[in-house]
Amino acid sequence: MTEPVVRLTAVDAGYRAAGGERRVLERVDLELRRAEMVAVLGANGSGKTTLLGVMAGTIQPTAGSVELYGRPIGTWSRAEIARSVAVLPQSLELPAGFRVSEVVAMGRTPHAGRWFGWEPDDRRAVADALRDADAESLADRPVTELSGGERQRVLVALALAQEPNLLLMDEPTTHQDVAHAAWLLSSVSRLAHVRGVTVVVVLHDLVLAGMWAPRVIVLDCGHIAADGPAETALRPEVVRRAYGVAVETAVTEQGRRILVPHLPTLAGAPSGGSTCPLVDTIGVRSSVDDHRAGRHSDRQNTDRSGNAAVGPGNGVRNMPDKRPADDRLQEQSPAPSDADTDSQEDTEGHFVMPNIAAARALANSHSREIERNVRVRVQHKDGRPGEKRNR
Amino acid sequence: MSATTVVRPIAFGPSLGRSTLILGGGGALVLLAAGTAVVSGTSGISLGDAAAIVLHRVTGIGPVTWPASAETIVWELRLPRVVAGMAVGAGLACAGTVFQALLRNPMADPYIIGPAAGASLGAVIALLLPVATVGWLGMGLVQLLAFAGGLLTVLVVFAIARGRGGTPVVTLLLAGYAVSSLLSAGVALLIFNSGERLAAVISWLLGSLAGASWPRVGFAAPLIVISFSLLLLRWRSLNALLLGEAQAAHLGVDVEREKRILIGLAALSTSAGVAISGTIGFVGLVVPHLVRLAIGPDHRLLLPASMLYGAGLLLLADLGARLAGGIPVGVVTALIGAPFFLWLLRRSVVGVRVSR
Repeated sequence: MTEPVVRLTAVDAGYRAAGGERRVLERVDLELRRAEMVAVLGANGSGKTTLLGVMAGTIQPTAGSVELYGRPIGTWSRAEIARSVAVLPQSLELPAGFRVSEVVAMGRTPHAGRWFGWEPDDRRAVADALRDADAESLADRPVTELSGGERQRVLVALALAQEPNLLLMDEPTTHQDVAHAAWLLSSVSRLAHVRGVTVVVVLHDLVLAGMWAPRVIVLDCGHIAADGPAETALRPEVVRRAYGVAVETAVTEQGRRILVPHLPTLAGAPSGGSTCPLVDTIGVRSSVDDHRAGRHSDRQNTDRSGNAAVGPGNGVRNMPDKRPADDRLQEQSPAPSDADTDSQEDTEGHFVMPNIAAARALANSHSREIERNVRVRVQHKDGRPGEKRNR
Repeated sequence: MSATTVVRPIAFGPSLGRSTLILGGGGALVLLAAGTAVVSGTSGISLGDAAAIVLHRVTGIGPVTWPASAETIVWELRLPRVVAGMAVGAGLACAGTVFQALLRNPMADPYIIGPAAGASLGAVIALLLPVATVGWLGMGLVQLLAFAGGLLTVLVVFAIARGRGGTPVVTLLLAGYAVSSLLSAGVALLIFNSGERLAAVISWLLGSLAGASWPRVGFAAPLIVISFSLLLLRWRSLNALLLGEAQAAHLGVDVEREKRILIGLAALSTSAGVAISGTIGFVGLVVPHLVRLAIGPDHRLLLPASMLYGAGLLLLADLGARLAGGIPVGVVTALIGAPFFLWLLRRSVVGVRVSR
């Protein structure tokens, strides 16, 4: 058994939000081996980009360990990481005034010497990268005069010029037509086979992921909900849970099983991902765990009562899990989930203190402030605050 | 080495011939401007005499065939001024290039995060103090306080903008703006109360190389040369930063460390320049744009070319200022630089891109 290229052990990661820490990844265990090809799927906000950031060393996990080739990633310098790990970001603005070859040469930054020249190795790597990304014919073009598909090829070449062992691609097919998406994924497969590169690709297209990836990881609110071959990882119930959208299985003429999403009703925006609970870090871990336990034992039905049990003012932002139940898919009418993330009301209409400091400030504030809170509560009785309803 | 894949050479930047032409042209401009500046003036000294004087002073060889007054004028007055102009011009243009790349802001100049305001406050305080003769290493109190004020301001701005996860450039810009405004208010207050020292204060604020002397040049020029030499070597990270901080990090640049290094060196160079010349505007803003327009944004060539053309243009501007009766050089650079910048701006509005 060869050593894994990257190993994540019990990784938590997140960022600070008003009133607490939003935990984007929670207890993620993951091992990737040489030349593996992995598709990462999950709803918006489920932690896909964060997962890539943790593997690229640009996001520090709040707990757990990340190892590259058996060495903790914290002991690697940025340049060392960049010699092994390349990242193709969701979007990248190419600076005007450069030609394609000059931008691709920037991929040599972590390898190049400290003086003014380029080594033969750099020239060979850039030539190979342009060839493998099918961008040779673009080499002399100004980067501002590229079509979307050409730009994507240039970005791939930039990443390949780093000669990485691990290539992380964040939604590379998002703005590509079917042909370009297929070309991109097949050339990535070639890299894995020929160069032995481990490739992680964030995808949104269930069909594409199922057809391409030997291994699929489904993220659901920062947890790995499924990890395995496409046939076992992309099961309808997994997808339904992760995206909050109903799917059915279809069989193609060639006998492949693919997942087809049901078109949602006009009831509301999808709730996947952004309704993941926001966790305050100030001494409320146990109640959060209760919350999670309830949520995972029976995701759809215990949440409301579970939330009610956690009273106001204890520091937990009681975000209702508005993930539509399978059978309630049509009667749910949630407000747009982005707005909900910032709201400070729980399901019962109480105003919930975001944290202790805010609570103290509120207690010290004068009556007008309290009046406002009362108004919020009253307003909430007949649904949601007006501005959110009037969309 | 897979020789079969390389059908034709792949361009890694401007060609060697082109780079030589551009840098050679810049070098020629500097030499030409320096030579002209040394021989121009009310007392006519030939280029041959000037060269012989310099050679004699530096190496000690050659017979003395010139009057002592000529030697004083060339060696004690014009030459320090020329060297100061070169150093300050090169330093400002180099720092401007760095700030424009680092902040990804075409309006950035060396003074954008506060060194000019800090240096001005320091200098004006020194000008208004009753003790005018205090000095150190041949530097007047004005120069020392200006230098310290410039550096200190950048440190303070950086400390204010620094957060847990690093120093966001937007915060840096805003903090720089706010601190500059605060210090400028202090300067304005002092100007208002400056009384008969008003002329000296205004003259310093407008920027001038008239006060250049060997001790001052000897203090500032090495600092500037060291800063821009080190900055020249950071061209790879400056190029990578043009892709944005996130991608620069993916390309192996330790972005926060790089910010500290780049800002530190640029601030050192700027503060040293401002200390001996006052706040000369527009050189650090316009020269990088001009050079970028001519040769593109690749910092491998952009940085040295900006330095050379910055040095040459400031020498010419100072020559013009001197021949026009000793007006402050800052007035000349603003008079030439501002319309030129408007022309650049207009060009970019009309459709030719300037910065990206």
